[in-house]
Amino acid sequence: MNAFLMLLKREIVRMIRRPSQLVSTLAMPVMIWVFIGAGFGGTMGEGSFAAHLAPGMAILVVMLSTIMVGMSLIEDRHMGFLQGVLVSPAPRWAVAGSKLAAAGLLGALQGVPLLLITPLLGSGGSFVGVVLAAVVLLLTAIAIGGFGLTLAWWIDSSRGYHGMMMVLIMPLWLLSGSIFTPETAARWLVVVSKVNPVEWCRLSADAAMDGTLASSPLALGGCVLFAVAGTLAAIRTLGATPRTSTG
Amino acid sequence: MSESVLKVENVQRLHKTKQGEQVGVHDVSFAINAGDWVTLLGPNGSGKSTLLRLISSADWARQGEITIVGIRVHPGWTTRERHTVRAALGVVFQSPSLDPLLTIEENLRTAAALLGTSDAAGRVDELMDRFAIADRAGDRVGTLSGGLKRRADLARAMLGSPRLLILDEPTTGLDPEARLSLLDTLNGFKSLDPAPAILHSTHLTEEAERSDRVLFMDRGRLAADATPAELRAGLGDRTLKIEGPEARAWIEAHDLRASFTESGHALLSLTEPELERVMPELGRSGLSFSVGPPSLADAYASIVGRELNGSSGGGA
Repeated sequence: MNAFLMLLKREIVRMIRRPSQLVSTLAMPVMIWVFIGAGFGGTMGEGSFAAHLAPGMAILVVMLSTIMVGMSLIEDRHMGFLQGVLVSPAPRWAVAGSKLAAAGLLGALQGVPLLLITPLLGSGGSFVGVVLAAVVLLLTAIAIGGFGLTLAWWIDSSRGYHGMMMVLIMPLWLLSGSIFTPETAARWLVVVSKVNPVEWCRLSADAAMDGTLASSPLALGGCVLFAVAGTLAAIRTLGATPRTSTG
Repeated sequence: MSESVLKVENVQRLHKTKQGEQVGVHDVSFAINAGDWVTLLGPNGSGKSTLLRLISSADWARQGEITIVGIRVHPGWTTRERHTVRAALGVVFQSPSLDPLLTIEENLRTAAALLGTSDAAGRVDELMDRFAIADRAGDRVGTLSGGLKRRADLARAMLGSPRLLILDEPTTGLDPEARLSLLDTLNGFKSLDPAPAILHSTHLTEEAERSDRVLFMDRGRLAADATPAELRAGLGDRTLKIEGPEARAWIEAHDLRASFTESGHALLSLTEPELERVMPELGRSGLSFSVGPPSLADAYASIVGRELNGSSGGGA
């Protein structure tokens, strides 16, 4: 447990010592939110389009910030730190777990400011709603972070990993209901979104903000399963497989 | 008699390079006792790093057995076995296993937590004092010189008082002064109680000269295992090295015995009277040659049949 906590502390210290990374992951979704929210502001009959976008944007912030988890694994490998950890007595779950916990905490912390703004845009929301939505963001971060770590284990180049993650993440996000509304979208898009785990998490965050999370057990259950699957994938990959020497 | 801290028996691990060539280690066997300093000497690509990765359990041997402190290293080991073996190891890789964004002290405390060291703070302070890095404890590793980084990495590897210290080309990138200082530090470990066994890889003969035993590695195979003195002993009083493709013809014409490297150089191990006899004629031949006391580089070339790339030992 001590190993897990020290590695988690290290991840957080590294993030704090590189503030540009935090700013850059926040900046893009905020810009998308502002521009799309303003551009499509009049397309919703009732309510603010920006408020409709908020949970989806928070999910995007989380997804983009968790890309960094895999990047940090590749970086650890290149700088030599990872090899020292892998031959230490510390269990591999501590390595995967610390990175996922850091991804969860930092992803949720970056997503929460967006959720806090939502009530100001005329949408509902309460303190409890924000807290519950933050938990959903944490689950989303762990899920995406877990699959990101799994992918990063097999990819040596941080550029290659980043490109691959963007190819996976952006369609997942675009095919969720983050931007479109079921009433106006094409039917096939609505069907695809129903089997998209990112949509389960977005729906859960939305329901948490509206105070209706209890009536969305399927979405919440799906999001929890998504997080469990990501965690297991990461622990299994990092735990069982020796990485072949490159030298 | 000392117990074997490490036993390597008929170990094999091959992998394909991007060019499709099979590289790795083939059928390697040796053992190291507590307190021994053993050097793996060989050029780049001779299998040293692959072997050290197998011993440090960063990868698994496909054939053969590696036993550390009496426990076999294999993928199916129990949690207790894994913990016992890894706690008995201190590993210094070619690039330091330190986080450049953390300070020296933060790095060592993280490493102590990974090891499960009791009284981590006291142990970290003790090692920072011993390796003379205490005054830079608060500096980020990314800002340190190569020599300081290496000292900090060695302190990290020694945190758990390892029974076996593995060093993969630890002097890479160090200036001569820092290199000598590191070798002196390794030599100083012999006075520790208990003294760790040291397995150290290098392609530099002057580093290998400092160790108790030298293992010659060539294309993944173990070509020799002896003390530096024993390896040089077969080379006579002086080593004569004749360069160029004409060397073979000259040697055959004079009925001399020599070993030839892949690059065509001839190596002759001669007694002083033999040397005095051949020198006048060799001088008149116009061939390029050098004479010197036998070195490990000569022994390597003589046994393996090719020269040690990057070795600064030349015997002339």
